[in-house]
Parts: sequence; C-alpha cells; structure tokens
Amino acid sequence: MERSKKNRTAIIRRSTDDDPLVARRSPAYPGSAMRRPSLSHRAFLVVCLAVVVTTAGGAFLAVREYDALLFDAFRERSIAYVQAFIASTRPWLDPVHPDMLRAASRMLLVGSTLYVELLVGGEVVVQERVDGSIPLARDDGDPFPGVRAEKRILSEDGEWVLEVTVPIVALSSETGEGSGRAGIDPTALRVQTRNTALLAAAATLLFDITVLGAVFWGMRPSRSSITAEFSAALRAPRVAGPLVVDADQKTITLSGHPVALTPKQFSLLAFLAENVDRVCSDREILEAVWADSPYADSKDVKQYVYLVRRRLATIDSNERNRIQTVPGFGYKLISGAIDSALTDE
Amino acid sequence: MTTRCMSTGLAVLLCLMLGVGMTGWADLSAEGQPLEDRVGGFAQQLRLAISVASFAVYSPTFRDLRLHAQQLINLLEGAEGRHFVRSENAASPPVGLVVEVATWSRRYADATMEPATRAMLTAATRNVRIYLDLALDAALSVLEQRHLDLATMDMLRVYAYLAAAYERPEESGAVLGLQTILRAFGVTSAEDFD
Repeated sequence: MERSKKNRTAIIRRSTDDDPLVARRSPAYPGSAMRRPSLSHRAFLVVCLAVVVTTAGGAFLAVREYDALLFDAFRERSIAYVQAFIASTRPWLDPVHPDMLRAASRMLLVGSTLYVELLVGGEVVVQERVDGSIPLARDDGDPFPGVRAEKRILSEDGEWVLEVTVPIVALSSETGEGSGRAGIDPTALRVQTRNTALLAAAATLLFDITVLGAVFWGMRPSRSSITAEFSAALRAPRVAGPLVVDADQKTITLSGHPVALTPKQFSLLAFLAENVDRVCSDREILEAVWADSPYADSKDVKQYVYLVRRRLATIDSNERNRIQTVPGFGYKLISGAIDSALTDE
Repeated sequence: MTTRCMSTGLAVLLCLMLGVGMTGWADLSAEGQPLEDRVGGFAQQLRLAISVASFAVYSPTFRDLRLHAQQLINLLEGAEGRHFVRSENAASPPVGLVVEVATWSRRYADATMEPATRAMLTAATRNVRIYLDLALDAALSVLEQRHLDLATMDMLRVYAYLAAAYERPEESGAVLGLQTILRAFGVTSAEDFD
C-alpha cells in the first residue's frame, strides 16, 4: 500500500455500516470520539443577538419611562413650590411690603431656584436672581399670563430651565392683579436621570452575561454524555479491512471467520486495531501488552507479531500482511489494501 | 439751657426711634429697645419662618428641602446657635427666635403691668417657646433624613409648630400664643409693625 501522506489520524468505523456515528481520533487520544454541540455557532450568535437586543431595548424603554415619571414629579413639585411661595407671601402683597417680600424671595433663591419675580398691579415689586442665571428681562415681550403656566427656557449655556408662572388672585381692587414666576434648575433631575441610565445599563449587562453564560454552559456536552460516547466508541469493534476486532466480546473475525488467538496474541492485535493505520513502536506495544512483564523486549514483540500473522494466514494467506512492518519504527495494522512489499516475510 | 438740653435729648430719642422704625428688619439685639418693638420684630421674623416652612414642604429636590431646613435653624437659633451655618444668600438675624423669646419672661417681671396680664403673657410666652423648641427639633430632624418623603413629613411638623406659635387670629385662643402677646402690646399683627 502506498504510504499515506496524510496525518496519522484514522477513521474508526463500527461493524455495521448504517451507524451514523463517524468519529475521528487524535494521535494523543486513540479511540476518542466527540459529538459536536447540538446548536451551531451561528444559532448561538443569533441567540446572543436576540438576548442583547431584547434586554437593551427593554432597559431603554424602562429608563425613558422612568425619566418621564421623574420629570413629571419634578414639574409637579416645582409648580407646588412656586404656588406655596406666592401663597405664603400674600400678607405682604396687599398692601405691598417690599422688605418682607425681598427677604422671602432671597430665602427662595437657594438650591434649584435661579430667579424669582413678583408683579403686582402692573409693577415689578420683587426681582431677585442668582448671579449668572437667566436674565429676567426678555425681548420677546411675553407678558405674564393670567393663568398658571410652565415652560422650558433655554439658558445661555444651552441647558433648559423650568419656568413656573403663578397668578396672584383675590387681591384688593386698589392693588390690582398680580403674578409671580420663578425659574427652577433641573440639574438634580438630570443627575438622577443619568445615574438611573447607568444603573440600568449595568444591570442589563449583568443580566445578559448571566443569561448567555447559562445558555453557553447548557450547550456544552455533559461529562456523562462525553464519557458515554467515549466508552461506546471504545467498546465499538475495530475494523481493519475484513478484520474485525471486538475487544468487548473478545472475538476476532476475518471475513466473518473466527480467529483463535491466545490472550497475549489477542491483546497485541487489539492494540494494533486501536491504532489502525498508525505505526506503533516496540515500546508502545510493550507498554500496552506487556505492562506487567518488565523483562519483555522487542524480540517478544517480533515473535508475537509472527504468530498473529501465521494465524491470520490460516484463513486468508493474503491477510498475513495485514500487519505491516515499518523498518526502524514499528508495526502497523492497515485498513486498506495490503502492500506485500512492507512485510519482512 | 435745661430746656434746650431736654429738647435736644428728646429730639435725639425721636430720631433713634424713627431710625429703628424705618428699618425693615427690627434689631432684636438692642437691649434698650422697648419690648413692644421687639415683639413686633419677633412676629415679623416668625412670619418669615412660617413662609419659608410653607414652601419648603414643596421643595422640588431633597437638597432644596435641606437648605430650607438650615435656613429655619438659622432663624430659630440665631448667629450664636450651635447649628448655625452662615449663608451668603440671605441675611441672618443676629438673635434667634428661641433665644429672643427666652428673654421676655425676665422683662415681664421688670415691667409694670397687671398681675393677670403678666400671668397671661407668661403663659403665652411659655407656649411660644415650647412650640419654637419643637419646631427646631423638627428642623434638625429634616437634616438627618435620607429620603425626600420622610424629610417632607418633618418639614410639615416644622410648619405646624411655627403656625401654632404664631396663633393666627382665626384660630381658637385656648392655647395662647404670639397673637395674645401682640394684642397685649397693642400690635395686633406682624404687618402692623413696619
């Protein structure tokens, strides 16, 4: 047989041709058989993408909804805040007590409030603002509305400010109508929104890692299945051409005819059958077959190879060459056509 | 000459009184100030504290609520108070409400008035002092809270105690308060003192 230029892996086939299991073994682990994961890599990527998109989309929608709720709560509290301020300063609005109004307005200008303005009888009675905030005089000529209103005002640095305007009702006829407005800075709200988004992103990432890790872990073949398949592969009869070696049943058949061998001869042939089409050195054969005989050597290997060949030849003379000698390297049980040139007989 | 000196002294006294009356914020630290003036200034300051507490309850953020609580503590304890924090935004009174009301009982003992009136004023002052102490405790509780809802509840207590100390005219006079003191000195409301 022409020496194969391929690597030393061999195909182990079951005795029945209809067995779908086709396993490959590596030189390091003769006889090993592994089954591929049930899901392909493409399917796993699809699952990953679906999980990531779903959780990211859900987190985005949840954060957006939460932000809307936060803003609504902030807006409601800001409106109530300004209304309470107007109501609390009523005793100083009719008649007007500018000093007390100014003192109360300065009390308001802490934290989120950037500016406050009180208008009574068409005149501005109080106008206070934090340094650097939105100028109170606007060029749009927008008069104070007669009803409660709130709107967003863009400041010079591009950030928006919530401006709340509240009418002052039930003043005396001498005093006239009035209203008050205040600008509330939503920076605290923006910080809370950003923190919520970061927290949601971290939770989503952690969830994705956990779920995908569980999916990937579940896709791995289990140790018991590996062991079962490996054991099943090991127990499967080894086939080399017409020669079938069943290590489980301790039988050897050649073209369907049983071959009688001694236990040591059987062990030798079974080891060569485990490594079909691979050259086994004398040392490998000694370690596998004569493990408990420290004084066995290459001569014993040569003698038993001769005996096995002779026994095979009794059934089919050509099968004498099923075990080929590779000079300088060892012996090889071939599965393909026999090359009589590579024997020493 | 004597007449001229007396006239000059009276004129100076009148100017001083006018000068005190023209200021929007009564100087409670002046020991020589008449008690009725101090009571009027006290009422203004208490009214301001009530105003702060009323809109502080609706603070849009937790930080704002804490800042208003500190403002109230400054108003109640004054510049010499243990929890006083100087603020660049608003002028703080030199004497806190709690400190001021504690000095009135001594003044009642020195003043010439009917025993029944003195007893009534003493009782009203005691009530005002108790309410202010409770309001101060509630304001300090606001600073210890970590959640907006709980801090808002404490601020509501501050407002309630301050309003009780003020004793609004439409409320029952069963528990005497500041309005009783104001009526006794002829100052029917804080807005009459300006």
